[in-house]
Amino acid sequence: MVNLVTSDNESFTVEKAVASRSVLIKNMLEDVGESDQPIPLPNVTASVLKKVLEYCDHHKNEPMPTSEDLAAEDTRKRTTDIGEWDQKFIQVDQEMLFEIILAANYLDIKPLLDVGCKTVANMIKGKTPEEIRKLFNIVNDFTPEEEAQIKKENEWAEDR
Amino acid sequence: MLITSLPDDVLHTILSMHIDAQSLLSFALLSRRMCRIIIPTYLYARIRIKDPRDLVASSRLEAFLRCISTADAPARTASIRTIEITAEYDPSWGVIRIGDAFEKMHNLRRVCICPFNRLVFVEPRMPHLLMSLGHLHHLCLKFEGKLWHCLDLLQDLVSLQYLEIGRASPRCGYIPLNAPRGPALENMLINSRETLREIHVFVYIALDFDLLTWSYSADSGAFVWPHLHTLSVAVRPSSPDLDLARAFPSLQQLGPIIPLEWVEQGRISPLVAHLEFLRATWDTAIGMLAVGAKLRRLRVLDDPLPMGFSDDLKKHSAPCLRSLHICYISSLTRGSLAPFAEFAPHLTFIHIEFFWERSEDDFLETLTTLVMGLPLKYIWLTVTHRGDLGISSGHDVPWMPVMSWERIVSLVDSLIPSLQGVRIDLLDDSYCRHWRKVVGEQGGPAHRFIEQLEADGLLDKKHYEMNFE
Repeated sequence: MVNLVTSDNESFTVEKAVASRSVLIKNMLEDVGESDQPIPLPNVTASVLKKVLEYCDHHKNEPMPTSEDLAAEDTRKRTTDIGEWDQKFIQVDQEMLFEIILAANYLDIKPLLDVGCKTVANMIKGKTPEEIRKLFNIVNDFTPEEEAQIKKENEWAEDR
Repeated sequence: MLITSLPDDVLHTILSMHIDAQSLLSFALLSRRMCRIIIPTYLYARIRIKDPRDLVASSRLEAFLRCISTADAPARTASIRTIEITAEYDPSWGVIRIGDAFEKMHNLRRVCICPFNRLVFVEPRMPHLLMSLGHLHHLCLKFEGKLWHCLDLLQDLVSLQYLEIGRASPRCGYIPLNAPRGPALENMLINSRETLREIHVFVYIALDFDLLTWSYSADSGAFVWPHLHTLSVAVRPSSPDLDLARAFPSLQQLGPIIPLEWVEQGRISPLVAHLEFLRATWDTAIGMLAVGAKLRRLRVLDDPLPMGFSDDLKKHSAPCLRSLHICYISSLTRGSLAPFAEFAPHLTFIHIEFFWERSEDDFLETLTTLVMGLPLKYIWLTVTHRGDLGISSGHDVPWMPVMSWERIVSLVDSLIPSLQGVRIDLLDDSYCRHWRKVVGEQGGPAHRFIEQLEADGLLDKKHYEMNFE
């Protein structure tokens, strides 16, 4: 078992197979060898780590992506299809979604990072700038003239 | 937390997903930071001027060329890795010429142009410009009319990984290939011999088999494309001379070249070591299986299947096959039916096109024999009257009886416990249950194959939905 300590000082004891879905933790475990020392995770809160561990537990028996897989993915656009379980798992509020993405990035859990990023990509698809701003609560920092200019310069990309 | 405050590396992961150009532009307009990240790097990485409503495609092309002529153009054109153009180009637009635009896109990796011959007519530099692209590895050209004069100039291209030569529309008919400077397509295929992974040829042309097998040696058995994983060819089985798949010889043809003990010992010929996805004739598929091809997806083009089909099912096996699409005429094999489970015991997807049956009971009996024991997840049955296709079969074809999908569904459900999705197309009725596009996922790499085609835009949405949803 592995003991993980979050930024808000909460401890989680989990199976090694679950914790090792994180490449960061896996490398730390390999570095320290057999030890009961807790592993501090200063960038992850308890509520987020709980969700991340739920994901890791569900996928603990799946093969880890190989470096070949990762290299192949880097060279191409990836589809935004998400598995059924992952879709339900990632149905969280926006704040939690971004926190999960950041945690997956920090903990180096590539499949979870992909699920989060695909979810965001799917949220963006087919929307106008106004709809995306409203969805993500973003204040427009372009002047109307600047926005019109960018649209005009790239009008080939618009579905007219 | 706001999306705009996510770190750059996370934003880059989001943007590496398959997002269409218009959505990317909308995302870029969120803020100045997003604009700086998205427009030069992602919006221009893949240019797709292809619109199902042809009327606006050319105006989009004109808008793109106008954009390329602006002050920021060098950074944008350098970002372009993929360009797909299915639009008419008019040199009188008064914007930068398309040839000049291509000259600036020196980092292009993937090019798809349709119709290429019309573009060459108004911009004769195009073949030379394509030849000058140092990183080009993916080439898809579609033609209307004769193509040799365009291909002739491209025959010295090397290092292609993907080559697709096809017709601009199904109405174009067969395209004769009478290149004055020699066999252009063969030379293209040979010059990229070491790099080609995928070949898609959808023109009915005769290829020089001896030329394509120029490099074989009896010792290595290395014939044509040692790294090929996908061979998809349009053939007319009634005219074997027109079959590109002949470059992969049948078992009989292999006789004098590959030692017989290779076949007997089940040794894998380097010829087919990587071949997994095949669209060809039944005889070709059997020939490849005989020399150890580990086919995962097979689309058989014969119509009808050859008489020896049922015997082949008993003699050969395709243990890696996960996906099979076949046109089946049961009258040919009635009385000697072999279950597919003996041939391909791990099939998870099957699409069978039945052209006629004497009665519903006959059909159900045939279906039972064919699919019993298969671990299928998806089954797609098309039952139609042969006469509907306007094909003269030479058989005495009775009128197709009225069939109902309820009995078929009930049968397949009882026969195949693993079934997740069913699709049945009858002459005047159809049925779908849990038919999802993930059907393409069955079979490991097939999943990636389908996904990548979609990401490349080679399967347009309509085609994709039609076939995989």
